[in-house]
Amino acid sequence: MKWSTLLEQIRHDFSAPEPPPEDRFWGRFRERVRAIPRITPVREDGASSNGPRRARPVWLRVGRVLAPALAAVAIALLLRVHQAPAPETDRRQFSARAGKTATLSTVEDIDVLMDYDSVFIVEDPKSRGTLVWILGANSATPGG
Amino acid sequence: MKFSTREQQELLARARQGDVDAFAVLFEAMRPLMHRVAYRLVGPNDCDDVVMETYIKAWRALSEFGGRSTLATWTCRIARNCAYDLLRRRGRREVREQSLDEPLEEGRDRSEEVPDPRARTPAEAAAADDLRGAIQAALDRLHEVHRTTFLLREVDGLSYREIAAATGVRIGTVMSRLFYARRRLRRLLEQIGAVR
Repeated sequence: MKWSTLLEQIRHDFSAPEPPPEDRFWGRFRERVRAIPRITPVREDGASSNGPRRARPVWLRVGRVLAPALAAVAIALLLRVHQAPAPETDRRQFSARAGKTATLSTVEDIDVLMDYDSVFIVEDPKSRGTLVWILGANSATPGG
Repeated sequence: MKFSTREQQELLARARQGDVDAFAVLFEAMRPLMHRVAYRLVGPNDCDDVVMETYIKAWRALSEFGGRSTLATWTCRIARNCAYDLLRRRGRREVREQSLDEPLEEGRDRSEEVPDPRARTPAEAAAADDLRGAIQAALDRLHEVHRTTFLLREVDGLSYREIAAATGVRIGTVMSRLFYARRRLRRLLEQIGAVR
């Protein structure tokens, strides 16, 4: 007999018996659990306890810390742009300091009140919006 | 009955809130699998009790299921613990959990069980035109963990991961036990001409 055929024979002859009927099993189960309290961990803050929380990804944790700072910076920049004099040309100018004419959708100056690694600036000339991403910000050590 | 991921998550959420019906729907699908695991670990007389204890524990600890494994694998681990608890309570022989992947002293086949001298050998069973008896005798000659692993895989259709959870070893150990079991079983049956 071939090995594969023998395996079929083994599966036929040595299979486990059928489990008890569904209604009988679950009837007994319901009787048992009626008297048993669930082991359901309850958090002190009263939040839902549907299983252990998964660790949030790093980018999400960092984002939650940076979001208020970014929002404040973005609003400040938008206000500065809005208050800038009417541009004569549509050229973009970065880090324009005092003495230079601000153009439409131009970041004239940035004041970030914390240490950071780098800054990424996105401008939208159509909406005159400016988005500033500050990477590696450290609000614990404010800088100038 | 297979559930989609979304269906399973909905049933899990309801069961965690105390919905026994949702728990029953979710766990009925894997009850035949748990029954087979319990049957292989503790035998026919106690397997129903082991499954019931497994499901009671799963019900109580459902909030601890974090989704890092499948629900079936998680439940297999519980079933293994319940089986070992029952064996210890009833004073059955101590369950050995040593690894069988380490090299043995020369000349000894690690997969071989010390046979019961009263039991029929595969050759005797074959001579009596009893193929089933010959296979049983050959299975009895396997080491207990090899035999269990072989039956869980070849007869009960468990995945390697489920077998690892049910027997408390790594997947690599499952594979090596299966290899030893197949090789040993095949050699025994080839000797009596039951397989070529």
